[in-house]
Amino acid sequence: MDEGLRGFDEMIAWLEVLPARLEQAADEGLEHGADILEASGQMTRLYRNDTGATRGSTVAYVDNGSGGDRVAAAYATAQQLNPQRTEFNTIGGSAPETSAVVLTNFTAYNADLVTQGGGAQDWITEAMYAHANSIMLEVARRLREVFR
Amino acid sequence: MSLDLSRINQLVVNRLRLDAEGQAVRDILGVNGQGVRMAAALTCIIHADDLDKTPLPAAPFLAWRRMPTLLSERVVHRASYTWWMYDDRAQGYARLDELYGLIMRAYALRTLDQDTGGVIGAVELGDGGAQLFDRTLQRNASSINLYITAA
Repeated sequence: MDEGLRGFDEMIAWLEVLPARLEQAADEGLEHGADILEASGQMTRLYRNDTGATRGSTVAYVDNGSGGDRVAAAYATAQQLNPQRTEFNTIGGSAPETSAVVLTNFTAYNADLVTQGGGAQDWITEAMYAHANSIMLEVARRLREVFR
Repeated sequence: MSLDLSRINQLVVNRLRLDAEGQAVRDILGVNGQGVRMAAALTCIIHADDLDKTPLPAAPFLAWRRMPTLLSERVVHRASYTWWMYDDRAQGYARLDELYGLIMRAYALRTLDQDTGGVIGAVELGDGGAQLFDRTLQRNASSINLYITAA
């Protein structure tokens, strides 16, 4: 095979794996972002926490099926610390070809917590706004690395 | 160009409190179930930090809060606001749903600082409208988010 044909074959092979590599890079960037959001959510001072269940069950994960262990651990924490008010707050099934980071906790009162008093204790929005920009920059950096 | 948060706060609130584009919103505020205005509309627009003060304004009423801003290279690139809407529980959500549309329209009619050649590039609305019940305030509630981007 001459050099030109080998180069062409390599390019076709690279293009064939490109979508998967881009998806992997994006997910890695979002995983990094999920770690930041989770830490931020656990450190918030917007609400007072009596049982520890809210803070302790705060979790962030990429909605690609990989967050099962984190979700299970967070849910177990909520059940342990406030079993009467535990709720499985999660979403699933992002649209095809869409990646999302989920930030939540597993308390039955979280929906009230983030909306009551005009959002005075809205720890989710606080974390998202604080870190969305840097997370997107990290995702972009990892996507660029695919082409290097 | 960086957004001046103090100035933007004023523009955002005055759109509903004073500007002609906010008149339709003001017409609904503070009106009881019999269509009688219980309080001046101006008293029905408060900062969300004042929701813990009593008595609350006559319903329906609005509370605003600025959310964390987005910085880009040390410049305030984007400011976000939430308008919270409250009504008496007996009223259901019809007036809150109406307010949602009227608030959207008030901001869509004219750019906030168009007349003064200001720094606002775009005003977007969305992400709201859920029917909520605020257990602390014992009021039905809904919200609408407002995103302001520098030119």
